[in-house]
Amino acid sequence: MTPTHGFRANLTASLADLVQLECLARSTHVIRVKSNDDVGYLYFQNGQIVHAMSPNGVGESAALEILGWEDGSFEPCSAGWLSTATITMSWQSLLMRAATARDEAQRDRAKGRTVLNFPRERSQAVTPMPEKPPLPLSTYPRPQALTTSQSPPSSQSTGAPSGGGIERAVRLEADGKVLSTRGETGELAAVTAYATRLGALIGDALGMEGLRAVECIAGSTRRLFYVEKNGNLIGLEARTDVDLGPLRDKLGL
Amino acid sequence: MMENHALAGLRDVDDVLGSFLIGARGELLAKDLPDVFRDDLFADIGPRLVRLRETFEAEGEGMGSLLLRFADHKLHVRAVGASLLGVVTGANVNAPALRMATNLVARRVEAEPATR
Repeated sequence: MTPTHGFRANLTASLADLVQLECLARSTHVIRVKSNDDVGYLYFQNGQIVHAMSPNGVGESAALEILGWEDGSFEPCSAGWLSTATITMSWQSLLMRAATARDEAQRDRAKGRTVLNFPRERSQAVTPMPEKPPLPLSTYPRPQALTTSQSPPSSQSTGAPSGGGIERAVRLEADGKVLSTRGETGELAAVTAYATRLGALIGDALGMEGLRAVECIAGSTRRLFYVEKNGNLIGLEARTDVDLGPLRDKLGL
Repeated sequence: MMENHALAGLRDVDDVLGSFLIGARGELLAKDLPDVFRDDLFADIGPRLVRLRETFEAEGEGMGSLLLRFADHKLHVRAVGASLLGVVTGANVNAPALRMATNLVARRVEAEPATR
């Protein structure tokens, strides 16, 4: 799996920058990271980090441990491939968490406090991986997608009290075409399309992927916008005293 | 810029990655986030958050709070006067604890208008 062609480079960069390069290039290979006496492995599959091994563990904790190293070397290697992915978090999230942990460690050092290492998973001892070709990324477990009904949410489907509840709702295709409505929707379709677009752009800028929902409380009104599995958008409006708990739970709000 | 330590209390809550404060025109007023969140990112984020607020306030009622849910993260936004306090968290943050911490920080921010 080590690349057999291309340029070789000898440059100095942060580990986060090198990882970003691999991810943006949608690489599929194993990278060995050495820092002092420690060696770790990062497994890239189509630009996602799907597995990691460090001296103290495997999976996300190993990736975070490796990403916390401050200097060392970074090179492709021919380590055996994995049979199952151990990391489902996006690479952006991993880098963000590693950066946060590094910041906190620096603050603790500045304050003279003891710095704790990442959680150690001794129980998941590092074992040699079988030599196998990489699996398609789609075979790895991903975060569960939302499932929703095919009509605008009713008070019954959301668990809201019957007779009260959602005052207006709209379902849109991703291109903005209105599929169905409930109540006097007025500008709700436009607000739904615009709010979800702005939300996704804000997330992109912060390195947060996969906008699922936007919830706004203004005065006595709650507005909820979310993206269905098929890409359709739902916008709905209800009074704040209406119980939308089941729907909010389903959306992870 | 406002002193970032005003925001530091939010990090007491587990799974909080950091926070920032945006002014009425979308300008960055304060930031307590890891270095990967460079200040220049907020040249886009700030005005977009302000536009999002204006969108929701178009029908008259002032926006109190906003929550954006992403695959692995949440962005909690709270109106603090004309400013917006944003808190970046993991998906499983303790919501009541965060609400309390946000209330305290919002109060502190509101009490320091002269520095904004």
